[in-house]
Amino acid sequence: MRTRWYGRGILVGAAGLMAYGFAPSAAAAPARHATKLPKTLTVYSQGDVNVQTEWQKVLVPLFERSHPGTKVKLVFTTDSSENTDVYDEIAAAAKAGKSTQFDVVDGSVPAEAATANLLVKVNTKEIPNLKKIQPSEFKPVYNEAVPLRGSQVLLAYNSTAVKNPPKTLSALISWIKANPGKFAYCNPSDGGSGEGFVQDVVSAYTSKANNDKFALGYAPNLESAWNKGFSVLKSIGPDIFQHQYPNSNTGVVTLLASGAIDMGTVWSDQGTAALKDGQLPSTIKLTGITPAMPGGPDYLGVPKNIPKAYQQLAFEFINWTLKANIQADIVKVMHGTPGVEFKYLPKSYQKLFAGYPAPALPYSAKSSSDMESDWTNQVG
Amino acid sequence: MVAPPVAIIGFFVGVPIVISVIYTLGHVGGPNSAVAAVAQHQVATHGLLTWAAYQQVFAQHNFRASLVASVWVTVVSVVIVLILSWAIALYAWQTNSRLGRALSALAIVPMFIPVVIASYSILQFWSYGGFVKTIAYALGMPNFPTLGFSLQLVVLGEVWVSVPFGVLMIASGLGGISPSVFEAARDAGAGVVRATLSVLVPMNLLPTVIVTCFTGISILGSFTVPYLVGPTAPNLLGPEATETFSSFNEPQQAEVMAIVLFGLSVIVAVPYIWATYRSNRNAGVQAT
Repeated sequence: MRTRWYGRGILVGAAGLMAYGFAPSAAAAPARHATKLPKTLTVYSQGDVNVQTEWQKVLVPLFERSHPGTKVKLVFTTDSSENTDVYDEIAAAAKAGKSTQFDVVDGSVPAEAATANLLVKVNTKEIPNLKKIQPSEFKPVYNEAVPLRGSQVLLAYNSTAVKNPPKTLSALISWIKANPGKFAYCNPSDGGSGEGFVQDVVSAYTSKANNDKFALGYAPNLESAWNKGFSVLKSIGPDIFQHQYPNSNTGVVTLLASGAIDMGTVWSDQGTAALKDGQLPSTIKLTGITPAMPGGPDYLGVPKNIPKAYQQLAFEFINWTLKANIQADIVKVMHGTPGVEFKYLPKSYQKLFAGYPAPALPYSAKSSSDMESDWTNQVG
Repeated sequence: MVAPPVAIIGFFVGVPIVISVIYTLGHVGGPNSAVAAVAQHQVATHGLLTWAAYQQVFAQHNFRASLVASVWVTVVSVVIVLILSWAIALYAWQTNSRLGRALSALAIVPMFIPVVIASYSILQFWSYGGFVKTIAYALGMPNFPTLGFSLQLVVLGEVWVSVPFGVLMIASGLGGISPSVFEAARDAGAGVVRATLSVLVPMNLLPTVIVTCFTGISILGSFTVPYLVGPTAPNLLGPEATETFSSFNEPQQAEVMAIVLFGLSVIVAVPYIWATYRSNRNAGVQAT
């Protein structure tokens, strides 16, 4: 499963965000549906403290203020193993024909549940704001989930040591070989930033059609195409810092911060947050390469097996999260990319993402699992 | 009628083990259907059983390397723990000095430090940019080796967390031995080493065997220390099985590794069972 980084939350300014967020939408939403909506929306989310901040300081209070009388019951955990339990609960409830307790699920559950066809298909009739989202983002989830926020893997480099950062993957590989011990990526099993780099290398030697198969499904008999990429990764092994792969996304950031390495792959949101709170010096810059490393959204999904009225409320909620000001608040708290296209953000937010390449589609959970296993056996 | 404790143990320990074992042998239905629904590269059989999952796991170069790593890290760590525990306990017992008591008290301290914290500290101490490397650099040794993320550091970490138990066991065992037997051996002309090996070790055999077996089993199956301070691969089987289970989404293969670990632990436990049996028998003889 894709291991996303969730950094520490930024609590500063949360109160200001609230004031900014609820005012324009205060009178908007209620009474659009003839059917009476339920009074409580139960949401499951999992992530680090910044995801918790996003929900507890932004989404929950702002939605409750703009929808008087409606309560959002948030079930939040920082423990990613809970995702499996929630997924199992949804799958088991569907199998037994019973209603599940969650109306909206966030985090890594929706992508998995959508693959198993456990979520409601979404459309612009019920969620008008879906039109603000890049259509390709619905492909990996079979139109069963909605992007809420995103992040992508970028190259971070020390601008004092590296004047001309590589623009392409092959230039990056040459740079790594020419500068032994100055590059690192984390173990792909332990962090998505390492996984993104590995995917970029193996997919460079794989046809576009096959890469789409790995991203949108599972094709184990085609995976031998990765071997070329793995041999490249093995050949740069001795040039990786200490010939060791840090066991977390944070491990790479720490090496960059201490000056031990001059270049590494990081999540855009983690890198931005680290630059903002001073964990990374301002000499570290983030940039994209071609072909771009993968990235992708975190989705919201609505389980199939809940009463219609609750589905309506869930759609109402999801539509609301895609409003420009709410998306801007999410970007501010998460330091990531928005769920909607950049042009639907307030102007001042759009310029934050100048120079971000369109990320590659990440491999599906099953393809990634195999890629990690092969990497461990052939490279690690 | 089954005694309630037996039934409880049987239900909570025995049943899950049986379910796991039959899963590794290719039975993916029944109680295993939930895990089997999401697993990748799973081996299923319609017959009685299949060893294919075991063959698959043993065919992996990385697994074999990790198996060897687990065994040598365990052996080396246990030997070091035994030597350290005996040395500290013996010094405190023999001299009965303030320094000796302070030393054995200090050796117990790691027991009160959570393993996660200890592992991070050990990593910080030995890794790149850590205390040791910084001192070496200041002393003009820029190429001083970095232990971070290596099996050697795993050994160091395992010893660090295991020594308290060793010292406690050996010291309490020695406490039951009269110093006069040691002195008698010395008077008869035996050196310290000879007196220790021929008199004290046999008299303190059961605690020594307990330390050996329990430390060995806990190191074989350990996760936190190797996961945090160990290398990417090969590493101990604990992190390897966890990675196989969650990252590679191969629960069947992970359970095969667990059963291999179980088999190794059983081998390590044999001396303990033998020593307990022997000591119970001796106790029985003395009582009659």
